[in-house]
Formats: sequence, C-alpha cells, structure tokens
Amino acid sequence: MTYAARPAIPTELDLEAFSHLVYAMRHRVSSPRPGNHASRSPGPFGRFQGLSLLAGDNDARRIDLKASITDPFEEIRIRRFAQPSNGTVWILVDLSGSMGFEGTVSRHAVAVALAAGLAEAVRRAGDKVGIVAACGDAAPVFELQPTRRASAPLEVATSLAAVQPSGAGLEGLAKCAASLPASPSLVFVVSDFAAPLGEIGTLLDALALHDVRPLVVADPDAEMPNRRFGLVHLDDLEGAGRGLIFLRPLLLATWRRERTARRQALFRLFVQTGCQPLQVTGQIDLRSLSEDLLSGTVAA
Amino acid sequence: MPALAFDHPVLLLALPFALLPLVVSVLRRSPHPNIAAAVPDRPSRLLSIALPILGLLALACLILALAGLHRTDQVVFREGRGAHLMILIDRSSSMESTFANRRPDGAEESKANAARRLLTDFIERRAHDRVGVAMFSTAPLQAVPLTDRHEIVKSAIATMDFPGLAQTNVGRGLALAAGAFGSETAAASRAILLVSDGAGVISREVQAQLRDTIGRRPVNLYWLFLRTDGAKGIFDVPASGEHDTPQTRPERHLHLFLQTLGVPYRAFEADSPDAVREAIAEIDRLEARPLAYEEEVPRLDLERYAYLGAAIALALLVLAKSFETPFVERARTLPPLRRSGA
Repeated sequence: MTYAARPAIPTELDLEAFSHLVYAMRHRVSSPRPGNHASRSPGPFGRFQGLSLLAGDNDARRIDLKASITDPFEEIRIRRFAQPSNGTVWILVDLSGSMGFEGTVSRHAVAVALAAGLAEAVRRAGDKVGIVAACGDAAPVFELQPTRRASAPLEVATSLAAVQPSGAGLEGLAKCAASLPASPSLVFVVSDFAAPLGEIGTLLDALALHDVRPLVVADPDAEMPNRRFGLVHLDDLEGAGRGLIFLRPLLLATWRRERTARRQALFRLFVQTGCQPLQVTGQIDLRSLSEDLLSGTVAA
Repeated sequence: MPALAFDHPVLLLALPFALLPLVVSVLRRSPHPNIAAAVPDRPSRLLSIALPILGLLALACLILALAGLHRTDQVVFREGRGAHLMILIDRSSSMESTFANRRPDGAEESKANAARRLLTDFIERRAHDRVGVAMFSTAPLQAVPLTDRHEIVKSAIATMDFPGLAQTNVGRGLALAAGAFGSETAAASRAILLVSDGAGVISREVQAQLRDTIGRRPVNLYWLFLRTDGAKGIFDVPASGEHDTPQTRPERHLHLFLQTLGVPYRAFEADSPDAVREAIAEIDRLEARPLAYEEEVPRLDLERYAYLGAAIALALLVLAKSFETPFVERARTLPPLRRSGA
C-alpha cells in the first residue's frame, strides 16, 4: 500500500539550522587534510606526539628550544604533532515502506530533513559526506559518493523527497553497508528500525568496522492511536499483512508493554554492537539531537 | 426435502459478488508502519472473521431475495396414527330436541348440542386423523372433505347448533360419505361415523349404490344412534303382531341393512350425553391404526426471510462501521523540523 504525498523539500533555512550540529568520531581518522577529528596524520599543530631529531624530520619551524638545550647529546629536537584531520561521514537512509507512515509528522519528511541536514552539518564541519538510500531489499535508489560539494545537501533533499518509500526490510541497506569503503568512518543510519531484530542485526554486523550512530525515527504518539475505542482496519505499509483491530484501552495497554519490550530489545542490540543510538521522536528537535550527539547516550 | 426455486434465476449470476466482502474490507484501511507490533487479541480476531462473513451474508441474502427465493408447493407424505373418518351428521329438526324429546332448556341440552360438544372433544383428541364432515337431512351435503385441518372440521361440527330441516334421508347421506374416500385412503383405516337420532327408508336404488360403493372401498361403519326417550331402539325386535317394515321401524331396518353390507359395523345406541361419550370413546379406541397420508404444502415465499437476514447483517455492519476510527487522527501533519520560538 502506498501512502502520503511527497514531502516538502527542506529549505536552505532548514538545512542551515543543522549546520551547528557537532559530532565526534570514535576512531582516529587518517587524512592529510586538516579537519576537526583526531587523527594519526602528522602535521604542524594539533595533538603533541613527542620529539624527534631535526635531522630526521627536517622541520626547523618546530624546534623545541628547551628540549634541545637540555638534551644531553646536544641534538636539536623538534616537536611532532598529529593534526586534526577531516574524515568521511556516511549517511544510510532507509526508505522502506514503513518510512511512508504519517503520524504527527511524515516519517519520510523527517528522514529527508535528517539526511539533508546531517549532510549540511558534515559539509560545514569540512568532512566528506556520502549518502546511500535504499527501499527495502531493492538496490539503492540514491547514492552519493563522498563529497564536499556545497550543493550536496540540497541535492540529497531533492532526490530523497522524490523517492516513494516502498519495499520491506533492511536488506538493501545491509548490502550497501557491506560495499562501503573499508576504512573506518562515521555512519549515520536513518531508519524507523521497524524491521525484525534479526535484519537490524545483519545491517549492524555489516557496519561493524564503522562508528555507527543509528537514528531511530520514532513517532510514539502516532503508533499508539489517540482514539481509545473503535474498529480500525490496519494495512501494513510493508505489505506484511492487514488486520482488523478492535481498539480498547486493554489492548492498547498490551501494545504499550510490547512496544516497550521491543524498544528495550532494540537498544540492547545497539549496545551489543557498540552503536550509540539517537532518537528522533516526532519532530526533529535539534537541541536535544545535539545533546544526544555530544553525550553519546540515549535512555532506552 | 424442501424444493427451492427462484422467480428470477438469472439474478443468481450476481452471487459471486457476495464473495467481495472477503476481499475488500468494510472499514477504511489505515496504514500502519509495523503490523507485527499491532498484535490483534481474541475479540479483534473474531471480528475480523465475523465482519467479512456478515458482508457475505448481507450480499448473498439480498441477491437471493431479489432472485425471488421460494419453496415450491409440494405434496408431503406423513404418517400418523388414526383413521380416515367421515362424520355424517343428521341435520333433521328432531336433533334440536333433548334426549327426553323436549325443547332444550337450561338443564338439559339438545341432542345436537351434546353431539357437537362430544364430537369436538373427539376431534381434538385425534390429532392425526383425517376427518371429513357430511350432513344430511332432505339431501346430503358435503361440508368438509377429508382433511387434517381440524379447525375447519370443528367449525363444520359447530354448525350443528343451527336449526335443521325436516327429513332424514340417511341413504343418500351414507352414499355421499362412502364416496368421499379417495384412492389415497386405501392404506389406512376408513370409517364412517353416522350420528343421527332416527333413520329413513332407503330406496332400492340407493341401497344398490351403497352396496356398490362400499364393496369397492370397504369402510368401518359406526352408527351413533341418539335415541330419544320412548322411541324404539335399533336392537329391539318387534313384538309379534307388530308391523316390522322399513316404514314403521326405519332404524331397525337400517341397522339390518348395514349389517348386510359385509363390512365391520357397530351400532351404538345412546340415550343420554354420557352414553354418547362412552360410544365415542369406544370408536376412539377402535379406530387407531397407522395412517399414511399426503399433505399439500403451499408455496412459501422465502424472500422476506432473505430480506430479514440481509437487514440484520447490514444493521450489524452499520453498527461496526459506526465504530470505525482511523488509526491516526491528525488534522495536520507537523513540519519535520521543530523551530524553537517559531
């Protein structure tokens, strides 16, 4: 079943709001290009990495006078630094059928805004951004190789907004994940993670090399209907079936318990695979997203 | 076996449409991101089975009703215990008087009245009998042919209350009653119950006709003779020197004639309502043999039941529809980005 019109493309103003998002990479990046992330690359400034002989390093600008004077062998010592470098950030966007759900917000619109906004934030931080979007188990519908192009975020927004969420599961995304470059990088996974835990596990396994930040797009207000009583005919957006539900407070309480249990299981899986999940509930609140990015923890 | 038929069978071609509710839900579909998280409970599962079936029933009933479903008229074979009984009632005016040959007053009822009451009781006891009523005075009259609808029989017996005519033409009456048994009565017991308070002379032609009819279709004959006080009995042998002719002793000669017919015959002489009751009880006991008979069942229109079924199913569906709710009810979808201060 298809649902909802195409979401509005985020404006430049919307993207601008993301530009101050701060993120850190867990591992040392390796790039000759100065940036914001701790790296192993030697440079003229940055993290002090010890002294070496002028004869070896040949960089007279960083002569450490004090070390040279006090050196018992009267060698001239220079300081070595590992300069902050820039890295590559990948954004994987799940556009399976369930992302077409519209509750308080359109999940598709949130995913598009998140992908484009994060791309803008990455671009502003001087890193390269690469984007892959996949619908269910099909081949990726959108791929953007790592780039610093200024127009990239808007391209991402336009392209992703044009895709109709369809398909089921995360298999397509898992395949893309396996084909990412082998060098460790930061990976944001934008999804509602409605797929079975096994499939999510497969995706996270494929991303084991990388620093993964799952962005759980949730809409609890909408997933728990605000009507307490009535008959509703549900139709799964990923074609998993349909069913008639007799909504009653008792049934909703059961659902709420099951939902909590599933959420806990999902976050346990994230913890087991070493991911730091981020939660976007309803509208994107950049302040809390920033805080979560900085603290690296979200209460399950 | 009920035979069903349709007035417009071509409309039955629409019957496959009744399967539509199994495919299309009556409720509006609400998209859900993950139906695995929306586990239905038992009432939900029951309703999800019941609603399509109700839809199917509603459509099927409507189509059947429009096609004019009915049960055809038919003949049903039934079996009871009893007899084919023709009650032949004397409507001569003497039946109006009491057993004591007086005008009926409050204390004593007339012979007709007593016979009517006791015969009505008799009919009520014999649920499986097929009973017919014939009457005679000057001329015989078939009131009710053999039937198992006892209401009409009782109504016919009730007319005994109305004043009768002068004469007692018993021969023609007997001929009519004997001829009332059709071929379908062959298997079971046939009986004629003659209720009279007198008799008449039966002419030779009528006698021959009676012998012929009864010879072809033997019947059990019962004569309930309502004897008036002072009248000669049917069993009384006349004293010597007394005239013994059909003209002077018509009852005795009718009795003798009936005995010669060669069929089981019993006469009961009753000179009071109690004696009538005993006589009827005796007949009741004698005439109880297995009885197979066929009954005509008229056409029965089943449309109204089909419409009723459709109406009930539709009412339940409307009730369900009135409880329909969208899964998510939002006037407006919010923009994806929350703007603080905006």
